[in-house]
Amino acid sequence: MSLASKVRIDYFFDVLSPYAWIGFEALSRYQTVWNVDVRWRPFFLFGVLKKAENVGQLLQAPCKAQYMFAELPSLSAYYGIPLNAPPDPHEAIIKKGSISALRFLTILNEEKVDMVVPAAREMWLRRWSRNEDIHLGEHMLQISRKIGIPFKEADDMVARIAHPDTKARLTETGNEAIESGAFGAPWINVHTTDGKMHSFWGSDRFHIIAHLIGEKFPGHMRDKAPKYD
Amino acid sequence: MSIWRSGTFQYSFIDASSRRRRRQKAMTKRATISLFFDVVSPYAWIGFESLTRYRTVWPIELKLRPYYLGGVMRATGNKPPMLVPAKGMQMAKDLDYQKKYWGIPLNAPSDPFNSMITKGTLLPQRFLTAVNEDAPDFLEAAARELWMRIWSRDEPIDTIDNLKEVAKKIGLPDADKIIGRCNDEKVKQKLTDTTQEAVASGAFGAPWIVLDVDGKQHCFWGSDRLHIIADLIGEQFPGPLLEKSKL
Repeated sequence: MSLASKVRIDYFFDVLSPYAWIGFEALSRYQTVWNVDVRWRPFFLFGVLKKAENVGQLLQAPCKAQYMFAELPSLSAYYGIPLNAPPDPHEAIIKKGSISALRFLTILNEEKVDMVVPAAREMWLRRWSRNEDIHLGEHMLQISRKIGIPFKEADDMVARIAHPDTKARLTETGNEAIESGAFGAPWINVHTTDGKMHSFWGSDRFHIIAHLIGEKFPGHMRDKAPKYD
Repeated sequence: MSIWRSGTFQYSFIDASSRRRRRQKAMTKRATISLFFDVVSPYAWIGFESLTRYRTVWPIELKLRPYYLGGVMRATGNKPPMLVPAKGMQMAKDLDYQKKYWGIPLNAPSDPFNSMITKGTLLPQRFLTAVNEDAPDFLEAAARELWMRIWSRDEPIDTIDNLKEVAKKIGLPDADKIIGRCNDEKVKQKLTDTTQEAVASGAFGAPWIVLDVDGKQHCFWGSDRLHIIADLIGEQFPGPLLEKSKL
């Protein structure tokens, strides 16, 4: 059993998931008032869904999908996030996907970890706010320019999106999540200082997580929202 | 007769529960929250306990609406979460965290499939429907005792004898008459109507919460939207309110 001095939270996410965006923004704010270390872990949601045999849940009951799109405005208004569902969700989520974006985030996590949060946020703002694409290399270059990654470095990282090592690292992250029980996004592993791990699914368990780690649930912290532009 | 004298004359004939209802009605209600619930669902229990606690501190009218989750699933094509193995495993862990957070003595039944699916909850939900009509002041206690049986003490709730035990435990007046009403076509229809009302508003699971505030209606699935509901009614969500627990 290893004893850590601080609680560590591993936040597994895919930029195709609006709930993962909500949880991401929430945890980014809570991180400033909780005594925790947060590691952002991009993973391939469709790979996780397939392994957990959880594909097709939304499709099996149409009113469930309808509910999701109906409640997202309440959740995003609560946190002050400019969330707008893409007009053609099937094309955005199923056809175009996020594999390149996730591999790019994986490379950033290794080489420019401070850029992971701005990059992920910009991906969500594109796909889930402004209805802009995120599935091609050129989109990664546009994102890099926006968040301040130098051209040459961005070119180099985009070239390595299809590299076997990048693919392997993204798969490993997915496997780690699956081994801890993941079947959806976001997936949150809380490592407490006694060496135990506690897993949570969704962006609606922060009150329980706060209670577990002896912190207060801070609510929306809308006044601490970043500029979403 | 002066107004004071006639008021006193009438007042002495009104029982305590009536007086309490009238006092609650006199408080300005910011919003109405309808909780559609079925005792088969542990998350509905969490929603029930949390909202009956928050009812005492939020300016809301809380309407407890027993419905039939089996009917909701049939109408919508939805399936219970446990059919995805990883989801079932996570649910067991999640309920353990919820138990500690809310101080609700949640314990999974020893044979969940038998309790929840094979036996089901049609009879107890009809019973709650009858209680809601004939003795509404006992609805909260009746629902709580049914949950304590199926989701805490691993006791059955599917027979008339089980209902008689519940009625005795909570001191339900006219118990035999109310239990007999489970066979009444009007009670069966009322349960069906409530279920259809929930489905019409978008329900596909449990609990189903309908919030009416500022002329708008917001529907929520699950027991984990209290922070959102609080914000919509201009109130706080400070946590489990353990001091308000009736368990």
